[in-house]
Amino acid sequence: MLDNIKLGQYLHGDSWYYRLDPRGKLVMSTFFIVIIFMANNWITYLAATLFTLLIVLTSGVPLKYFYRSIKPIVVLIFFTFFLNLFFYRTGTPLPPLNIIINKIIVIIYGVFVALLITFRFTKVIDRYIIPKIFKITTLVFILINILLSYGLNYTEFSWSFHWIIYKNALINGGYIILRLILIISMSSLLTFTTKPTDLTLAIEHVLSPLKIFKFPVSELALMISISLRFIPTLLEETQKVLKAQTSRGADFTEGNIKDKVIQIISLLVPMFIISFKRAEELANAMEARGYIPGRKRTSLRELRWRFTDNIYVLSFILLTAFFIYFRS
Amino acid sequence: MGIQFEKVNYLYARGTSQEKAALIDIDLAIDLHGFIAIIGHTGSGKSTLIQHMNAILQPTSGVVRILDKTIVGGKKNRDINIVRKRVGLVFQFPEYQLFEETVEKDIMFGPLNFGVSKEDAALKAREALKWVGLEQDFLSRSPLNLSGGQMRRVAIAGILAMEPDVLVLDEPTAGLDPQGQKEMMEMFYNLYVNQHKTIILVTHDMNFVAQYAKRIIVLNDGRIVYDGDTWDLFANYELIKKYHLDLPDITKLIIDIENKLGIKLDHKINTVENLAQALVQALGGANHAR
Repeated sequence: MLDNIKLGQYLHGDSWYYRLDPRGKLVMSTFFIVIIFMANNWITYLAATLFTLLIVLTSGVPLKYFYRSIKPIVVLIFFTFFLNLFFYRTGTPLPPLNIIINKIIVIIYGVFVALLITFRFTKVIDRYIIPKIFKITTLVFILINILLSYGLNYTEFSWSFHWIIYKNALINGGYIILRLILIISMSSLLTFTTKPTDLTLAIEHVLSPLKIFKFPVSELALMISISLRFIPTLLEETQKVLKAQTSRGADFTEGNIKDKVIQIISLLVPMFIISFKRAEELANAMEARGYIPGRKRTSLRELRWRFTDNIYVLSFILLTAFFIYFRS
Repeated sequence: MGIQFEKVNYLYARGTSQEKAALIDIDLAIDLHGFIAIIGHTGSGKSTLIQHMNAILQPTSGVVRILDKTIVGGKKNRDINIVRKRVGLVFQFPEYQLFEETVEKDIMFGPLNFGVSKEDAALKAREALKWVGLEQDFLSRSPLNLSGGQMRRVAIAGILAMEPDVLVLDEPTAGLDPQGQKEMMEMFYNLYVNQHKTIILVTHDMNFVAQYAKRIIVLNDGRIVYDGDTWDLFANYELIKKYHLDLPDITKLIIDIENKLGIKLDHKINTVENLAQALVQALGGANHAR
């Protein structure tokens, strides 16, 4: 029931990227998000894309994992793309949108009808996928035509709203999509190749200057690593309680709201009890092993800054320099 | 009737790199009114197997027939909730499923979920509390302020109140003191004898298996490797060794005696009295010969 939740994205593997110092990776991934906004023309975006591709392809992480991390935000990407499409108005205008879309839909229809006539598909495609495609394309066809004909013909309905797409909007939208994909790829790469423990260690190091202001950096880092450590454990416990209550007839998928509330409570109360119990046990275990907050502590794993880390950082500086020089 | 497994396979984490077969080609028929033990090592698939018995898990392929409901693997099966009323599954450490303010309300949770009226559910709660051997004045207490053993009894009462025909128990004695374990097992045996329930017991304690179960099922790496009479298994030393199983104390004692005295005894002897008699016979005979 909770099978599809995956936390702690670390993937086992080994490559030059895995061996980099997590501090460098963390800071540079953040830095990358900042400098990518400096790119504003095709040459800078090309450089950013090639740079990211080079790292991604040599990192030893299979591409499908990047695809998986991009997939959940595809809707967001397209949303920004379309917003951009309609509100960005510089450059030369393209032919009215409805004409383009109508052409595309006619082509899709044509292709599918041709395919249908010539081939017999498997049951699944015949029964579910093809009707779905026809339904969606028809709906889009009707919607676009209604909306756009208003926009084009009846100016009183459309204020100053012209459903005309400008060339720059298309290009800029493309850049936005590219930028989001690059940012997500770089930050996913960080979590794919860095163990959560190393990442918290890196956070601790990066935040350590805050110690001057009496900010409890190492306690914060410990809290983060404990939370990360217990997420899978608590998920497992949730799974168990969920199954136990399902065995008692609780149905978490159906029923009216009142029933649902009771059933959620039957899950929440045990989970609270279990979490508190675990927290208390952990606190006792830590105390028994002499943990005192605020005391100076050594770490099992010492981070080591190697020569490759220098090169890694340098490559980002070079990329920044390239951006500054070539951006328009 | 009963529960039947036909060529059941179950894959964990399907479609990911951690995909693992938890059950492989399980064929199993369990008739009603039996006392069956399921044993096997940690990770052998015991828990996965019993979770199929009330359709908490559904097979990846194969068919599970639970009473009059058929669950087909790889398909969406409808109206399976009703199966869970008739096959009560008690998970390991069931005390963690308690959540209501009072013991009574908690026991009533199951029956109410299956559409029993409030009055009837309250009656069933009283009845169930009797079966697990707790006084009626527990009804108004908070289930969270009881001792560990009492909490477990209340949790089991919550399952019994649904009046299942089959009671599946996952390590019901884990974490209890020896006396509590004994009482718990006696309670299940009582339900088997007097309430005519079918008991399916997962346990590591071979003494209880030897004492109560007629039939034993051994799982190893997701496969059923033995399914038959309990004492036939314990007498089969080869099999016990092969699957690293534990023996009941009495069988261990018999083997010890055999090794010390160099005599042969029947491994199926199941009580101390019978063992004493067998020993007198074996040794007495030897003495006569001398």
